[in-house]
Amino acid sequence: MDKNIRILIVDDFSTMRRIVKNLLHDLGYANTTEADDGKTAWAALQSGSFDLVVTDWNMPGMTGLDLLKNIRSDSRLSALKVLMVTAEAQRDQIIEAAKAGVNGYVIKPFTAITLKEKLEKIAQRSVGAAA
Amino acid sequence: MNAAEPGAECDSGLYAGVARLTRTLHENLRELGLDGRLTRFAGNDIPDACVRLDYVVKMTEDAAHRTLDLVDDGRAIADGLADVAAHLEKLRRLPLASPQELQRARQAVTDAEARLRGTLTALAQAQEYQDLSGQMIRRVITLVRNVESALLELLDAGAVQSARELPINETQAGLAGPGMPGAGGAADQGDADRLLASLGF
Repeated sequence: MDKNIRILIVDDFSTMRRIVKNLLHDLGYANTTEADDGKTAWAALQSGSFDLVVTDWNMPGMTGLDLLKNIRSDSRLSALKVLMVTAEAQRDQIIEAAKAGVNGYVIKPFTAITLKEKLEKIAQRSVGAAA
Repeated sequence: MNAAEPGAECDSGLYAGVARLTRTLHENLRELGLDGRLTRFAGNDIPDACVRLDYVVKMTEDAAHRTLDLVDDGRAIADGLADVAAHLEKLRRLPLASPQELQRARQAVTDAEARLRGTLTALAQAQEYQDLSGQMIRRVITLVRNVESALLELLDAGAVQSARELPINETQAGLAGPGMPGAGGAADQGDADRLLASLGF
């Protein structure tokens, strides 16, 4: 994936945002912005052009799933890639996220390798879809 | 109500029955010392536990930020060492490296070593939250167990006679939250990947 892509990191815990940001920077993705829940993320998405959203699920205000649904139902944002990074690990929830159109699903606690793999997979698929 | 009406006797019997049950319950509660215990739980222990748990959240968050700050310091030290290595490589290519330059490079490595050791010590110290938060969480676990046994005694005292036979439904309020390793229903990353693959992901 192009290392210059703009990534929005969404999590209500500042420590988790920092950890994700550090891992992304280590992987070479330095163009990141943070939001502390779905609502602030939604506002950021309206005003900026992002290529990827890395979001938690369980957040006050607007959950990551609602954010995903909003993104998919907005014609300007519907093609945006969304990677869910969440502690929610119930089978039904994973299926729900898949149905809502998530591009990748990482269960917390996660490793740098898992994050890297999922990002690569999203990149491969977007190349495949463009080809 | 007219005392001569049919059912009046039945009503007064019912009231007397309810009054008797209430009295018995109160007596049981008093005998068991439950009324005092429940009042203490509700009025003191549970609010205190909430304050402690809030503090645990804050303490762990602060410790995580402190750790991440120190990791950033470690990265800066690593960057500094990379600069020294690049400088040494430049010196190596020179026909005659100046002893002062080599001495400066050696000093830079020694300084980085001292800073790295300091950072590692601070990293270890930043983990002390585990002891304190562990102690607080243990206290709350003890409280939860005490409330549980008081509630069971309350059920045994006949306050809510049929409740124990009722199936206890899992609350469906909100999301499941973090799962425990191997606990029912929760997937790990491998399960999630297989599930998504089966859905065409």
